[in-house]
Amino acid sequence: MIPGVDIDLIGTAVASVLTFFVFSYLLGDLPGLGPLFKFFYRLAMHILVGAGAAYALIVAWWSVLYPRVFLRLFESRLTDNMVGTVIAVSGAVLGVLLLFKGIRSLAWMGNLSTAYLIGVGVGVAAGGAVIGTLHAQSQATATFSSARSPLDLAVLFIVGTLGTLTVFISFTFTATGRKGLAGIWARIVQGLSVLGRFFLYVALGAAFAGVYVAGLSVLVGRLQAVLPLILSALSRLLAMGQ
Amino acid sequence: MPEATAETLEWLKGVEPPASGETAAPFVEELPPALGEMPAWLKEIEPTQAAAGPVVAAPAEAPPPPAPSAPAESAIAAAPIEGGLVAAQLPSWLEALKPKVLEPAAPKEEEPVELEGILEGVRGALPAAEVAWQSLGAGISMRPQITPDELSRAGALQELLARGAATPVRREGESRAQKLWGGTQRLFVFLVIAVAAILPLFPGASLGLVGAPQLSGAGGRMYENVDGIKPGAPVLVAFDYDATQAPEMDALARAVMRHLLARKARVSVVSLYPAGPAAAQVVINGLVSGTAPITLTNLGYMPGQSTAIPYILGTVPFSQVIELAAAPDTVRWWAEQLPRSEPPLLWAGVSAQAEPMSQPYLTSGQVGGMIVGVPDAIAYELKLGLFKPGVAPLDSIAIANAALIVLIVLGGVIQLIVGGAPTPENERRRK
Repeated sequence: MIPGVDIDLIGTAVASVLTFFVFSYLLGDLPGLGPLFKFFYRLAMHILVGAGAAYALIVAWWSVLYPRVFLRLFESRLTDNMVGTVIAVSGAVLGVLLLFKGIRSLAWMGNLSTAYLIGVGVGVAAGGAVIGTLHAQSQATATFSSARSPLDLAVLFIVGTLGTLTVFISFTFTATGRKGLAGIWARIVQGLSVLGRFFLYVALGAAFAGVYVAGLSVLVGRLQAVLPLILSALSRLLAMGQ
Repeated sequence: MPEATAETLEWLKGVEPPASGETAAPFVEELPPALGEMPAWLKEIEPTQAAAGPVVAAPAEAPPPPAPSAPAESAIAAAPIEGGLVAAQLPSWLEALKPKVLEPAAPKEEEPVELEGILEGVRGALPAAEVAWQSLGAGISMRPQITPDELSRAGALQELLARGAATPVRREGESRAQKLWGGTQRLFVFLVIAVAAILPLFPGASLGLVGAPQLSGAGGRMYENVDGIKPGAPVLVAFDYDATQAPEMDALARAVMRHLLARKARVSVVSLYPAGPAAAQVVINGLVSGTAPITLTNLGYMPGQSTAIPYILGTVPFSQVIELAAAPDTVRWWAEQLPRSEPPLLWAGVSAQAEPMSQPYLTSGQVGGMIVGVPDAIAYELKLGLFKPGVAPLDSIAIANAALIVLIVLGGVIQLIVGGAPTPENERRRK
């Protein structure tokens, strides 16, 4: 902490400037000053990526490597904890082997670490998906009717089932221009396909609306953070002018 | 051959070479044997062609090969008897196997040359491609008819996919005026949204368009749950978001954390994102300054995504988990790994983006209650009563939404009337 320097104020000012740099992307099409705005945008992006990578490195050291490998190894050596030593050394060895994936001729050495990661990942994810999502959601669907009125249930089941089936059908391709029964069937499939696309549009629209509202909330949040600073700076400028 | 000596065996003397000067008789196969020496069954199949003399070994001088021409072929077929041999009558199936003279091939149609990829320059690399387009049905062409509209849309999609974050791509054929028109439109939309979002945020510019929000059913359950936590109860809070989603998520996090600290819960903070602990610390710093001492531990980043959750649940004491998620994936991970119980162990505060995909876990009861986005955060704070947040952000969001709807409708109407800007695509459509 530097005496007399308000770190929070500096942080807010830097954040505000970077926010404007990001917004300057929108002014990149302006003739004349466009390239300058694009440069500011790219500068902000490079700072974000660079700072993110540096931060991830620091987190990897202080949150993972130091406490979970080196400190644990040191502590287990002090207390003669053989199990702790084995776990720490195993993790360190697997981690080091993973680095060989970057060297083409020695990439095979990282296969053990990759196999371990994939095995554990798939085991946990598959078990969770079956028990936590597939079974739980099926059970919830089966017991869905307990707290709903018959009309609600009818509408939800019809719309839900129809929506699901027609969306599947919308991905089905059928040849048009046929005659007879094949032609009638092709027209039915085509009609259901149009209905399925409608359901698809509604679902995508809802998803997009969520993303848009989230983005707008972030924008408003940033504006809320930046606006007081701008107003304060403007008032100071005006006071200096007077 | 060496001369026979006294040591030569008796039986070998009979095969001694003839005397010098005598030449050996040429080898002639002794055919046919005397009839008297033949068995009865063989006599029955004796050829009747008595005139045929003994078969002589092939002459040293081979006949010339037949000339590859039709007259020569017939001459061979009708060859006269020569040396006692008769031309055989070939069966029809054998006739069909006779080599035929190839007629010169008709000039083939020029095969297409590959223009790109690793087969560039190779002619006729995919000969079946043309056949594949032929329909098996009668009269139905399987070759897609691509209209200029579809081509235009495909081009726009390709452009979107190929576009980098910082490298705007211009459509081919756009004039300077058209580019300027496009840029002006974007700038206009940006200005409208910016003004709509900024206006309510000015101090003293309380528009009051949106009333004080109320917590929904799921939000109300969330509030009641936190309100029922006993002092000292261990609660695990997962900050699964980073700085990019902080403006929205911090509002939710502040509301929940303020409530937890007011209930004197023993809070442990973790994150499945590397940048999550920093976001959590910002919220914590804003809450703990100037208040009574609290029991709170920021355990930091837990690597491994969903695989880290069993480890966290096994090592960190908790009576319930509150998940603060900007993306639906982390809600799913926690819902999948936590055992189901009554009352539920998992409670959530999610962003507007994560809500649709998190809703099934709320409906199934795996998530006990949920608050969503800035409106629920403000409603939560208002109900808690410890901090009075302004509703200006809600006004801001509402006006920006309304402005966007107006822009969409206006743009649609103009498109219907005028037919869009004079871009090359629109010119093509008009034609």
